[in-house]
Formats: sequence, structure tokens, C-alpha cells
Amino acid sequence: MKNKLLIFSLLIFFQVFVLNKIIFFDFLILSPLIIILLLYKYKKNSLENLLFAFFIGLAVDIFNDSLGVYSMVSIIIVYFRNFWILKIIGEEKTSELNDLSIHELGNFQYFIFSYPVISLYFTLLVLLESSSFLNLDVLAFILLSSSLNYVFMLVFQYLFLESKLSDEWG
Amino acid sequence: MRNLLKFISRYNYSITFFLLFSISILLISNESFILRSEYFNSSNYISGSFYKAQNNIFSYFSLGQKNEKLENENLTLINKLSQLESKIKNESSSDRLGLNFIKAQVINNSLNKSKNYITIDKGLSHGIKKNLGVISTNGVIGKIKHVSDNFSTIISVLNTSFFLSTVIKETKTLSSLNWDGEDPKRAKLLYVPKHIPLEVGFSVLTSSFDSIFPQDIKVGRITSINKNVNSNFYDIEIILSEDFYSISNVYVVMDSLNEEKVKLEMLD
Repeated sequence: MKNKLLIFSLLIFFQVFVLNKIIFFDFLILSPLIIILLLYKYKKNSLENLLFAFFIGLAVDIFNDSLGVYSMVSIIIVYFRNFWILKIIGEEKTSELNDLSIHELGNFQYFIFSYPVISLYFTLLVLLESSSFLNLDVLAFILLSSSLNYVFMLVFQYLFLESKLSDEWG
Repeated sequence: MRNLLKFISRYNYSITFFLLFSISILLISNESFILRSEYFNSSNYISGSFYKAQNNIFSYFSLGQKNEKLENENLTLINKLSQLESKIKNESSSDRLGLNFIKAQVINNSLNKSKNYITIDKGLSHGIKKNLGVISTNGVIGKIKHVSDNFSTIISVLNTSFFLSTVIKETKTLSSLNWDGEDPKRAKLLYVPKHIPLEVGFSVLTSSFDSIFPQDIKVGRITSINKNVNSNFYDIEIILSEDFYSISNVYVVMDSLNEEKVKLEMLD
């Protein structure tokens, strides 16, 4: 539990103080918040999931002067994530899951589960934070940033979730 | 009542979702929401202190660049000073008095949103209040939005909600400046009637009519003029005189006569 809190805090710190200021190749952004939202333990119809998402989004908003944007995106993502995982693997299997990681779901199912959620995250961010409408540039940004963050998330899970930490993550 | 409780307990997940969703909408849409103005922005003590520490670390690595910029700023100020001195000597004493400036350091600056804010390391304890203008040696930066004891956030010129009263130097035409959310180096100049003869390269300065900025602070230079629009006004683009990618030191404008002016204007 301590490790989980520490990693969540480090990821948020990394998002707020480092990655919020960097746009890779003037085009791509890396957002560790999506890792937290996707990997946070799953419980069907859990109020705790929603409240956690709201407050962690609010924390990012406070540092980012974007009050409401990340909190709204976070609760939509967690709501959609909880709905989407049920559609993909069914209610029976979800009750057996410790967490929604690649180790539990497998490569293919994890891609089907996580990529749409990450894409939705960046679509909502673009719409709310930049007030941009969907055009080719914006679509390219969503697609490429989603892919970059998907790869980042895989690396993160292979680095941290296979270790002893994986036992404590659920 | 029992049915209502049953309904709530059955759909509490969705109800909570919509409740939190509504709170988020309220936070986004209502700028005067009480929480927004007090603690929930980067001028609060915790985030302000973090940004200050971060800025201290990063600024160490860009000392050379800053030094060069300061030397340039010094040169500009020396030039301005000599111009002012000769002006004072030559003209009657009708110049504007009562202006003071508080120097502040930028500790956080956003550029990639449609509503960008800047955080500085000065607050209430340094005499800063809401709605004061903020400038640099290159031009207009924005106006103070939130203030805590030691930090303030500035609503930047690069914020689509910010409008600035301006004047075109060569024609003395009043206009209004607004950023369209696209390029952080360019902004739009609004409400300039088509009968005014304009040229690319004309300078845009502050007008002081908004009681926030002193007169004749640099804003930018006209880079394109489009007359073929379905309106009585030009479609004008200007290049901003301040490079928002590299601002580090700013000055908050304290106008001791402003309160008197606003009070007088409010009479009747």
C-alpha cells in the first residue's frame, strides 16, 4: 500500500512539474495520470473509484490552473474504464482480477481494453483544455499521443508490476 | 420516501458520477466560483512553493541565457531613461505621476492551453492586488487574477478570455486585442474600422483606457491586414512584442491614482 501511494505520488509529481511543461516534437504529450486511472484497482460500481478519480484529477487541476478539466476527464475515464472492462471480459472474469494490468489481461486483451480508454482521455483533454475541434491535426495528435502513452504504460508495467510490487498493487 | 431511498441505493454509482460530473462543469464554467478564487489555483501556498522550488532549480541551468536577456533589458531601460529625461527637460510637467512597479519572477507559465495563466512569486504581502496590470520590458504580459500571501496568478495575454484596450500608434486608432488560441506569438486586433488607412508594421500600444495598464506600453506590431471580411472592421493579426516562451522577470504596475480615477468615473 505504501509503495502504491508512493508511486502514485511520484507519477503525479512527474506529471505536474515536468511533463506538463514538455511537448515532445512540438506535438506529443506524455501523461502519467492515465496510468494511475487505468491501473487503479477495479471494483464494479465502486464509488471509491469515482471519488479517487475526481480528487486525483482535482489535484492535477490545482497545479495546472485548469480547475475542473482534469477532474472531469478523470471521472469520465474511470466510469468508461469500469464499463469497458465488463464489456470486454465479462462480469465473471472481472471479479477474479486483482488489477487491470497487462499481466492479468494478456497482451491482446490489454490492448483492446486500454487503447480506447487512452484515446478517449486525449480526445477529452483536447476538447476541454485547448477548446480545439476535431480536425486532422487534432486526430493525429490524439492517435500519436495515445500510442506514445500506451508504450509508456507497457514499459512502466514491465518495470514495476512484475517485481514484488505487483503483489501489493491490487 | 422508501422508493426514493431504494432508487438512490440502486443507482448510487451513476448518481455519484453525475454529481461529480456536475461539480466539474461548475468548476470549469463558473470563473467566480468561490473555491476557484481562494485556494484552487497555482497561487495557493503549497503549489506556489513547489513551483518556486522547481523554478529555483531550473533557473540555475539557464543563468547564461538570463544574463544575456537582462543585459538587453538593461540597455533598453537605459535608452528609455535617457528619452524620458530629455522629455522631462523639454516638456511641461504634465506627465503622468503615481506609477510604481513591483518586480516579480515568473515561477510557472503555461502556453499550450486556450486559457493560459502565469504564476509569480509576489503576493498580498508585497502589496499586490487583483486586477493590477503586469508588464515586462518587452511589453504587456497580463493582469493579476488570484492573489495569495506570497504568490499571484496572472491571466496571460495568451488567454482567450483576456481583452486589452489598445491604440495603433501611427493612426491613434483605438482597438482591442484578443488572442485566438492558435499561435502563442500572434494575436488579433479587433474593432478597427475599414476607413482607417493601415499598413503592415504599424505599432500597437496600450491605451490606458482600461485603467489597468499605463499608456504607451508596447503590445506588438501589425503583420497582416485583411479587408475582405464581411464586417465593418479589418481582420488584423499582430505579432506580440513579448516572447511568452521565455519570460522570467515581470513588473506589476501599481497605479496610486487609478483608484481615484475609477471612483470618479463611477460617479453618476
